[in-house]
Amino acid sequence: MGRSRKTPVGVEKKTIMSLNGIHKHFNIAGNRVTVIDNLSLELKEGEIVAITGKSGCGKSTLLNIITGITRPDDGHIVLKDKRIRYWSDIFMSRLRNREIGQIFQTFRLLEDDTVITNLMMPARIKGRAGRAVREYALEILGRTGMSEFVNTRTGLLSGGQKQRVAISRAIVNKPSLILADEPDANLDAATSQEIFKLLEMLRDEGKSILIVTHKEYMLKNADRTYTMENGILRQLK
Amino acid sequence: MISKLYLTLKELAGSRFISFVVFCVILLSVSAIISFNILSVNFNNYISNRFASAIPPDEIKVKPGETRSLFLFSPAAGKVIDSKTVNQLRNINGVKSVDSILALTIPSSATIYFWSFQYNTDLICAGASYGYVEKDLKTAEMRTAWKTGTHEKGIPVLVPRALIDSYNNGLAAANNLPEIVPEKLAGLKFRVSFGKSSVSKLNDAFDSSSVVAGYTNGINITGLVIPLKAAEDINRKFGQKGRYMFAIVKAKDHKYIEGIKKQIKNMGYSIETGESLSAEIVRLKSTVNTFIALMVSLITILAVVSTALCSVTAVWTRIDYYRIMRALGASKLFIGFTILVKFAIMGFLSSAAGVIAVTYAKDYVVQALSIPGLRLSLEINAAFTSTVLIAGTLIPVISSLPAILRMFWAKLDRY
Repeated sequence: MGRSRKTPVGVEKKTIMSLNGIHKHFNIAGNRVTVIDNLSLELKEGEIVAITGKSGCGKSTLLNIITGITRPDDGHIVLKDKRIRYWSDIFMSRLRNREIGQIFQTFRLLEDDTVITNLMMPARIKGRAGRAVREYALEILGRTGMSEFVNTRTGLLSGGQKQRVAISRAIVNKPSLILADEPDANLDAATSQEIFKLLEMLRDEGKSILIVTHKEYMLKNADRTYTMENGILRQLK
Repeated sequence: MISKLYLTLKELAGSRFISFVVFCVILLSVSAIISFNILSVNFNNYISNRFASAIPPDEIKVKPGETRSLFLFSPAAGKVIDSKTVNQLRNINGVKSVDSILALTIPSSATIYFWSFQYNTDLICAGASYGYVEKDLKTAEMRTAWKTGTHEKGIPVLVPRALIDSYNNGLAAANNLPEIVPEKLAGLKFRVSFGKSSVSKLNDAFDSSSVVAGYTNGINITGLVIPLKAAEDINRKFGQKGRYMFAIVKAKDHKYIEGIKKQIKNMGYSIETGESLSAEIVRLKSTVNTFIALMVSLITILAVVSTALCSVTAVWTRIDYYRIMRALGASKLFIGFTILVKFAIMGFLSSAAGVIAVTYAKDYVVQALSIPGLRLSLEINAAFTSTVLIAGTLIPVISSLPAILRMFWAKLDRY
């Protein structure tokens, strides 16, 4: 497996995102449950960081905090030298649209729409969905092996194909960070490996990728691996 | 911009069945409300036309308090209407306007020349405000003259219909003179003497030329009606404060009439309005109008509730779409905007369809419905149409707000 081939050896990689002292708790049935406790993490350009852990350990909450859906109790996040401002929904939405590409285990595609319509959605939200973007979207579909399904309704695709579309959609606005929440959860082992290869391809293009996964294959091949337990992040690799 | 428009249109095309239900709800509500409005207008017209003489107008004629005495002649003991009274009348709750008729408290007479015929008579003059006689002034020239109180040919005057009838049926018939055609009276010139009559003559008496501006049914005095401003000036010239013969109080609505009458009576003045049967008709009219207003309110409430429920369903069935939009970077503001635009467009289109449906249906209604004595008027006026369109657009928008807010606060960002 290649490792960040675009960055020459000896050159310090640029930090894309840093999480500093993130703390989050929830009140569940009157009890204060700490989900994330003083978490700090750095993500550099062109690397894949994988996080694993038991269900309910706070992995998804961490992704929600990064995307601005959930607000941390303490700590802050800097993404591409910009500190995330949680109070502004418009700021957070713009950040999600332009700097973060998301991949979900349930794909979250518009099932009644075609592949290309799904791919164009982030661009339409951005307000720039011209011919150039469409050509770029078609090019991405070529790279993810979905060219022949451009005008197919996503509801008719298989799980692996849907995830390929979801990955294509995640990069259509050229984000610097990709968050993947168990992208292989509903896929068989072979398809899971194909998906990871796609993520590696994106990593090689300079994207930073944070994956939440339970799959051994992905944990083994990520650049860094962490496990999350009781809200604390521990590096495995 | 085109991208945003695309997303707005995509929202408009979403949950088509529920959109169709909302469309039908607004369409039916608008059609029913317009129908009720037409019913109300026609009913009120029917009452006004059929019972015109029995129904009290929304006007009260206020006269000075009556003088009561054991003798034939007595000093004025009743309460006089003056400018202070007029101001008090204006301040009564429910009063829309007060038009007063000011008497000239000086002797006056008129001389009419008609070929070889010369007729001189003592008469009284009264000043009327422009608002009260506006409808009797047929030309723009006379309307302007009435406002300023003077005309190049002399003081403009209106001849009461009662005076013309008195002449035609009394003087003309008795002396074999030609009768006066009221409609042809305008433009007739004659001479009026102020401060001089067959009974007395004041020091500053003067003659003035006058021109007839028309005739009036509104002031039934056996005298001439001149502009209020001219009457005030002449009174002032002779050192008189002036005394109001009566004041016409216009109520904002029939429902205020009784209250206003009571207050005026308490002030010590006499009043004139329709009696007996009129109160029953007014009550009937009020009851029917209240019923119609209640029905319109009920329909509006039902439309609001139905649309609100539809919008909740519409928003909930599309929540996955909104969640995907959120994940892809759409702000709450934009999502809310597209939903509101969708409901606004639906509301406007369904309201417009309702207006068009009623407009087309009215011809069939006219043919099918025939009530003796009732001439149906099915015209929908522009102001009412605008109100219906605005309300029809806003109701779905406002009704969808709770669903949108609930979604934003509790449901939207849960994956």
